[in-house]
Amino acid sequence: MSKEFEKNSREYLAELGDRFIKILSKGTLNGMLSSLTELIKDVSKSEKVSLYVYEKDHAQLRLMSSDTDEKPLKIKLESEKIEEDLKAYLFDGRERAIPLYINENELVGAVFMQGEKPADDFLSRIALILKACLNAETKRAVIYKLSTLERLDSMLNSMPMDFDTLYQKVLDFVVKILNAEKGTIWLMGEDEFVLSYVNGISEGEILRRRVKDDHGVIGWIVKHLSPFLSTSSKDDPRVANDVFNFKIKSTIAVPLKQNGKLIGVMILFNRRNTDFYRPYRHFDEFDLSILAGVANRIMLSRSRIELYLKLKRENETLKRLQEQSKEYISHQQEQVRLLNALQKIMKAMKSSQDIKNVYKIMLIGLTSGMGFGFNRALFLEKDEENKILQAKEWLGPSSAEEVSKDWEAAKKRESMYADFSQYLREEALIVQDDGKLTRFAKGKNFSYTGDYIFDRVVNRGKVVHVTKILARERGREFMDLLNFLQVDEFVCVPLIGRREVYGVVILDNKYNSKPITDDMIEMLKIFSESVGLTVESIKSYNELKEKTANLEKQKMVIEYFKDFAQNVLENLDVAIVVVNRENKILEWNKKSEDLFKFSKDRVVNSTVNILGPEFFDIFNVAEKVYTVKETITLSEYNLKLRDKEMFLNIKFSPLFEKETNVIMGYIAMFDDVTKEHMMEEELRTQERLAVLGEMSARVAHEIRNPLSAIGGFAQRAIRIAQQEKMKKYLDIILSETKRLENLVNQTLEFSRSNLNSNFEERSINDIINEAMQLYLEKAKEKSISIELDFTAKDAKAMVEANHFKEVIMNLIQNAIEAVDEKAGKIRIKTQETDDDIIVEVWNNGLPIPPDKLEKIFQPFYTTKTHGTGLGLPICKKIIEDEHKGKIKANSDESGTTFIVRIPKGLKKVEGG
Amino acid sequence: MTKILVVEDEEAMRMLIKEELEDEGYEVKTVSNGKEAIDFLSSNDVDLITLDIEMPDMNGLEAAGKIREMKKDVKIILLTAYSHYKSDLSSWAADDYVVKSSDLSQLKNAIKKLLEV
Repeated sequence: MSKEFEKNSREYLAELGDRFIKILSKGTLNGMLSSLTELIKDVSKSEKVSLYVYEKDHAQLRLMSSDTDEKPLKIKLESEKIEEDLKAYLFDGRERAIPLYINENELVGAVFMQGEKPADDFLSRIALILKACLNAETKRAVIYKLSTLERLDSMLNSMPMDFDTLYQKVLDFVVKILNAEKGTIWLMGEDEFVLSYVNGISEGEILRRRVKDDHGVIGWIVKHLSPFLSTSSKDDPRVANDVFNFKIKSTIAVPLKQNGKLIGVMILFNRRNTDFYRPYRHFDEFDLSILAGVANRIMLSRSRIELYLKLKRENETLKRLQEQSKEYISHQQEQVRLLNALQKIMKAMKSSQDIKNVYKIMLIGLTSGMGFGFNRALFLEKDEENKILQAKEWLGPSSAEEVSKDWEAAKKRESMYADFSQYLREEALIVQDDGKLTRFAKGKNFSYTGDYIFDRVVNRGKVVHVTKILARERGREFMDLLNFLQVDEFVCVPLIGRREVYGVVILDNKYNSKPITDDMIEMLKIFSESVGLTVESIKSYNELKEKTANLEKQKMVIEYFKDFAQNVLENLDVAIVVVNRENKILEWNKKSEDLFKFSKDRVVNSTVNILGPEFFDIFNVAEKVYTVKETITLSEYNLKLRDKEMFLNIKFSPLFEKETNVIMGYIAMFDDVTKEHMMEEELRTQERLAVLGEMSARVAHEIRNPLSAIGGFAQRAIRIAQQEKMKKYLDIILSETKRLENLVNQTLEFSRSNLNSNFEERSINDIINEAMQLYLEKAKEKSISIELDFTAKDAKAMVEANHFKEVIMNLIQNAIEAVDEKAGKIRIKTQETDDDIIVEVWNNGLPIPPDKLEKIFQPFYTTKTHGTGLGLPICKKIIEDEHKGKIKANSDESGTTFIVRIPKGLKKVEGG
Repeated sequence: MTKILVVEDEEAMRMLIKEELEDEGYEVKTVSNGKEAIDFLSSNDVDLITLDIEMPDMNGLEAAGKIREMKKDVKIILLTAYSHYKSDLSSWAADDYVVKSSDLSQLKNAIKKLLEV
């Protein structure tokens, strides 16, 4: 240390402080360290000074500032003592190397200088300053690096999301901030690296664009996967020189790794000479660290971009899918809507029974906005016989002018109905049968056999879509139809029934020219079949209905006849019983109820056994119809039912089933002929009696003469008889003769005709009195009281007086004979009504049993030991036949009464 | 003496009537039929004639008619075995009608009645 320096040290120190401040205020590390070097030169009077800083991480000293080129850039510290390591680099004996310590143990750098060794104090201050400079620089570098990377980040953030921009922009950026002359990015291709992006390199400087993965710097990076730095690339074997034709001085390179996988390499060449930042001419570690940071960021951005692109792609895919599905959904919705509409149309069609209305509903459905939405719909009916299609109804606006008006009105009406089918039904009633289009179309025919379009539609049941192209290309084939419709796109839909097409609907969008989609065609195919069947079923329903109506009518007639027959059956005077093969009673008419006293409810559906054993024989006979197969007849069958005797004419007729001729059962007819039977019996009796009467008369006549003679002589003989015995015998002969004569008289009386009736108006009471006179004596003898009760005081009647008197006498005679001798009572009573006179002859004798009472009016029946048995029959004959009255007898414990009732005036006098 | 003609075809009856009427004191002639009666009456007169209705050849009714033409005042009683001619008596040519019986009291009464007039 010089004296001057020492002398002035205090001033110097002050000056030194100023200089330190100046040094530290330098903007760059370069500037600071240059100033520091100058200060050391000034203080030490050394000409050449080299300043190194200690890099702890690398255990080396790095040359930061030097006045010569001889000093190495780095000095590795390998031995224990730094001085030993530094010695190797001393230039000559004059030069000395001084390590710079802070607090004698913290190494911050070293300085090479000539001359005198400065004072320790000075050196320690230099050390402090150096550290301060380094600190400042480190801080600045870090800040720089951070701000640089920040800038990069913000740049990356605002960068468009594509790889080209990313790589190029980042390359440009890093070249600029690291002051590199040229930069390249190589991306890995299939088996080699491709020069993808360049900065500061002209086309002419590029020798090759592809290198293998073991070539040069790239090969090194592929191998080590770590940053690469080469400060003297000219001699560095790692750096290839066959790629570019410019001079490579220094090189930094970093791998571009994504998820640990190498995808490229970024290489920067030659550091630009500039005051800024670093004083070195070559890239250094710091540059490399920045480059590595940038590489990281590139890769992050790349990942981000990839992610973004992937997301974007996915998003787009999603969007596309969404669009597709939206389209699909709306397409589906439309299909569903149309299907629903179709269903509603069919529902509306089915609900209508008028076939014309049904077609109308169909056409409205096809043209309605809520339905298929066609502008016009034309219905053509097939005429099988003439092989033509006849235009029947055409729905839609008739001209462009009417379109908006028509559609608006229709839309308004549509909106009033929640239910489409209801709308269709009611709209069909509004729509006129003869709209303009229909009027225009009526009478138009198209023959379909061989027709370009209709042949397919009608004969093959195809839906034919005539597109604009078809119309243009083949229009000549169906000119008639095109001219008629005046459209270039339409669709012909067959209405397909069970067996064949019976009509065609032509649809078009004449006014809004809406294209007819394939979907719509598909729907129309469904429409074609389903609506076709619907219409056909409605048609058959109508036919069926008509037939049913006819049947109903027939049924009514049948019902009528049935009722009629039932009525007849019920009111028939013949009991009708229908029995089936199972012996079950199916029919039991009113007469059956009356006759057999079984109610219909009780016997119908029961077997014939329910009728009881009395009927067994009848139904046994009935069952023979199954074998005989013809009507079987029983005449005057005697049936005793509940003690009542009846006579029946019975017929059993087999009941054939019409088709099969099988006997299903039989009809039994019971004709009650009891009355007839009795009458016949009576008639027979009367005939017999008449014959008997005739005979009797003859016989009587023949007998009477001899009897009279016998009796007469007997009487004469009695007068002259001497012996008592003779007299007694003759008496017997006489009395027996008289009995015979009596019989003859009565027989003759009974058999006489009425020819000689002599009717006159007489008082009945008088006649009774006359008759009674004859018996008074006899009654007196027997102590019988005869009581007269003439309630009818002046009862007069037209009578055959002698005959009537005979009747009364007969009745009195009988009464006398009937009563006991003592306490015998007879009462004769007369009564009258407006028309009749009633005579009652009562006695208190023993009652006549009912079975005998029935027979007392029969001839030759007598309860007495004597008498002819003709008395009461004669009375009956006189009263009933001659006087047209009635005679009957009642008998019980209280006595027996004979009641005679005759009309006052003769009802009818027959035969005079 | 009152003369009675009995016209009766049956012999027993003819005899009975004759004897009974003779017992009553009448002079009785008998014939057996209508023809004989007319023959007899053409040469004889009688007061009363009993005439049986039922006779062969000419019955009593026919005979009565003819007799009435011949003998205007003679009484005629019809005898019959039947009882049913009675009411038609007025149209006949006879004066009375009696049913034959073993008891001839009816006849006797009728004769008495007619002859008393």
